[in-house]
Amino acid sequence: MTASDTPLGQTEVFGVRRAKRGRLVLIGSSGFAVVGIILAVVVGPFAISFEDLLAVILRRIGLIDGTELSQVKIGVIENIRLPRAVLAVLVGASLGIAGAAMQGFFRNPLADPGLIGVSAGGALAAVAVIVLGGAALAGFTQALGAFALPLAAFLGALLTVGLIYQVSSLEGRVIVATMLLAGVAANALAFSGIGYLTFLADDAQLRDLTFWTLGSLGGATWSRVLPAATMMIVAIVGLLTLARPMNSLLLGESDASTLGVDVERVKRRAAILTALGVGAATAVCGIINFVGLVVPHLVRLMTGPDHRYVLPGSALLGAALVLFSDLVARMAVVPAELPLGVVTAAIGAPFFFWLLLRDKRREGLG
Amino acid sequence: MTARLQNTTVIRGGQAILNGATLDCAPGQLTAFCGPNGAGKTTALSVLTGALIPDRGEAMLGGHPMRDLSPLVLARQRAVVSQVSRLGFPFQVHEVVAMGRAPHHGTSGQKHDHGIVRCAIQAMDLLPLAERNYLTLSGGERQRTNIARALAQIWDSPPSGATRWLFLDEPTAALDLKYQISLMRKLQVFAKEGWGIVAVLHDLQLVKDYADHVVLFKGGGIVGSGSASDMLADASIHATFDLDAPYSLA
Repeated sequence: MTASDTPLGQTEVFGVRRAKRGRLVLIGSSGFAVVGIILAVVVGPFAISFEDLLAVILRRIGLIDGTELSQVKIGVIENIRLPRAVLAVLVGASLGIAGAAMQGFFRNPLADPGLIGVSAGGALAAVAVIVLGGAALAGFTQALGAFALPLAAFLGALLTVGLIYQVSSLEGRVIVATMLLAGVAANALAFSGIGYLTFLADDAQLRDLTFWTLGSLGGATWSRVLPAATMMIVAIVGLLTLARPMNSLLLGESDASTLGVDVERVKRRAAILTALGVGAATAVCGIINFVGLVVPHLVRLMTGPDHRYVLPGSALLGAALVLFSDLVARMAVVPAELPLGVVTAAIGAPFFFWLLLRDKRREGLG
Repeated sequence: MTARLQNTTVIRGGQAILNGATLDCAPGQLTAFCGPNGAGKTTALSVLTGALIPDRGEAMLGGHPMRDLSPLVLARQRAVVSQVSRLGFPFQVHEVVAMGRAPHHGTSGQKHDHGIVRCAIQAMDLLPLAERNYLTLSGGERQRTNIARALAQIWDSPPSGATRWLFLDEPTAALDLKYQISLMRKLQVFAKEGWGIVAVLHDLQLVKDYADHVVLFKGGGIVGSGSASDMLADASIHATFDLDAPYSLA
């Protein structure tokens, strides 16, 4: 018997409480999201009951013929409220998981796609497609059809991630202050571009643009949602598979590579998938800030930093947060609608202040 | 099957920080790299671990050129304890140690991994701290956690039967006297089991008491290599470190 071959009879496992809490958080967030979906369909100026929703679903899958349902009700549920709820779920999940992944990628909990300009970069590219789609970018829009907008936003977001990383990293280490300041610059640059394109826009395009800067889920239809939805699903599923290597990456790049992680490949994938999720979300509903910051933080507070919980937890809680925020946006000033970004910023900005204060008390940034 | 550097040169900023170094570290031995600051010890260690690709020459592990070993195969037979830890997220100690099992994911059972994590935690005397937040630990406790992670990584013999290698860069730097001695004793035990162990060490007394083999570095080159008693003779230390006063180990 040698020291390193000690029998492994001991079965007591560490971190049981943390693991249990992690599972509870996943179950709880799923519950929140389901309640959010139901409320998103049921609540609104046009009265719909939970039974109506059930009946429409059962009718759709062919279990009942649903003749007692009015066509108007079916229309409102299937063509207005459900696509909007599905969009809220996907956008929230994408922004939540992308925030968590980006914080792992930058190895810093303050990296938020909105804060460091990734959303704005995506928005600029999308706005460019809207305004110049008939002229300078006609080839691009014709070749890609419905995918032109989300793909452009993806490329804009990817470019911004790459830029910020190049500017703020030194030999595999990210300088946090530089990252945040580079984000300020990227945001300013993107908004100046958006401002310029707004001047070029005609009246119809202007109406399209108004929702970009503040974000909204309004006007969601299945045909508009579908292309971006595919991209968001790819991003979410892809990021979920990166949980383990991203945990290793938190040890630092050199330590991760001694554990057999292909650091460059993981970083590249994380950057591309994050940009894909943020870009697609931005393409369909404009810039929605702070979801990517607030949600992963809350999840981490509850589960600890293990990405196997943080990534799915952020997707689920992000979906729930956007569902409820959209509910507030729709109901706060009936019959008008608040932009969704106004609601998430009202929740997120104070939260960001709190984080900064907490970090200052601890040790300061960086 | 040794860990070997062949005529290895590493150039940084136009300067050779490691200049044509050739050395052999044998399995079953505790090899110490000693020498003044900036002598090339850490660079040589990084090339041996595969973290650094040399500008000239090459590193071999177990008879294979380093570039022929896939990162995963390498990770299953050699672990590295680096000088600095960059972990900035509040993992618990056992979670950090469990990260050492990452290269075995899919080939090693969960229960088996839990057992190994526990053994590694025990080996570094971390049981009372197992569920503590890593970020609240002292420097020495963090260091022991990182060593436990490296132990967990290569606790099993690889199926190929290849030698296990443990590379440590100044592992005793943050440790108090008790844990310095306890770590060196444990490294000796692992070496006796056949592990190859290579450590950069500054405490020559520890080197003299525990190392089987010593490599002396100076100015990017190797100036001596041999048994601890030969290499740590007064005259040799005097010349290697450019001391201006007499010095002698107990």
